[in-house]
Amino acid sequence: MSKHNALTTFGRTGNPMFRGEAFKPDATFADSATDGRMTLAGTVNKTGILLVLCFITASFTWNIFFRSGDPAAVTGLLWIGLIGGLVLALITIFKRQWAGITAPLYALAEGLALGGISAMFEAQYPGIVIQAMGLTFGTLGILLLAYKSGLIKPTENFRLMIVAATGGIALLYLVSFVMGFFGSSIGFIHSNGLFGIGFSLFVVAIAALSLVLDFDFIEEAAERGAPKYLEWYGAFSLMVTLIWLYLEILRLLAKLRSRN
Amino acid sequence: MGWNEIIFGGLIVIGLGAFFFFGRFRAGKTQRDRSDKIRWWRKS
Repeated sequence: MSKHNALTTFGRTGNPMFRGEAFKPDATFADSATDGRMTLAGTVNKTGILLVLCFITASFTWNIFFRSGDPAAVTGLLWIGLIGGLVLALITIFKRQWAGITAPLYALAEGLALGGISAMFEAQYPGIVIQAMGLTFGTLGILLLAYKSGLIKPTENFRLMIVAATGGIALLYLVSFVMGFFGSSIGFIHSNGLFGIGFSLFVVAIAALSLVLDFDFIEEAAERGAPKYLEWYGAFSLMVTLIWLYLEILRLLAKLRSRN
Repeated sequence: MGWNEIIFGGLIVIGLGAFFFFGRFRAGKTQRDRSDKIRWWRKS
């Protein structure tokens, strides 16, 4: 093995964050994939698998809620799903090679949480869940077509804008969450006034545009012949964005319905 | 089944159908052949 190959294979430092493809200006993954290359079809199929897994566990908590009619019956499962999903998401982000195992587990965990949350919204506003699902998957289809046709062209500035906005929203939610422990909150985030609805619309727009970044990442990775495990990682990143988009649409619709 | 289920159920089918069908194809040339693409694998 030449010195150059050794550096490419093992990286210039021991730090996993700074190894491999991240430091190759135009990585082609020529020698990184030993068990096949990532494809668009493979990523789409794996996204389908994650959606089915998420739907199965969501149906489970949904049924428990409507059989008992008591939110307390699903609270435990909801928290298991939320905390388990967060832990599995962090593992997947830092250990992409494990995505083949952690991404399906993440989908199962998130399904538990989504089923409970959706059932609670549905009990309060009948018909809201199918509306939120329709708008989520409708947005997915429209933005995919807009991306594939070149109508939306993600650039570095586009990415910077989305990442900055997402960071700002996450920070706002975190501050609101912490303030909740002291009996306070950032009022406009949850209000059904014009400002609250405007905020929700903004968050929905950012979540939807994040899908474009996912499409671009998947397209580019497949184009460069990335390792097969990145199919799971690409499907996982799509799932994270779809779940975020779904929850934000659900919140937006609930705010609109609560005004009537 | 009411209009709510028909309209939004249809949207789910169309959206997922578009994703599973068009998601398998590469993006158009105008999308791929750009100089200002995001460099996902470039040192920043």
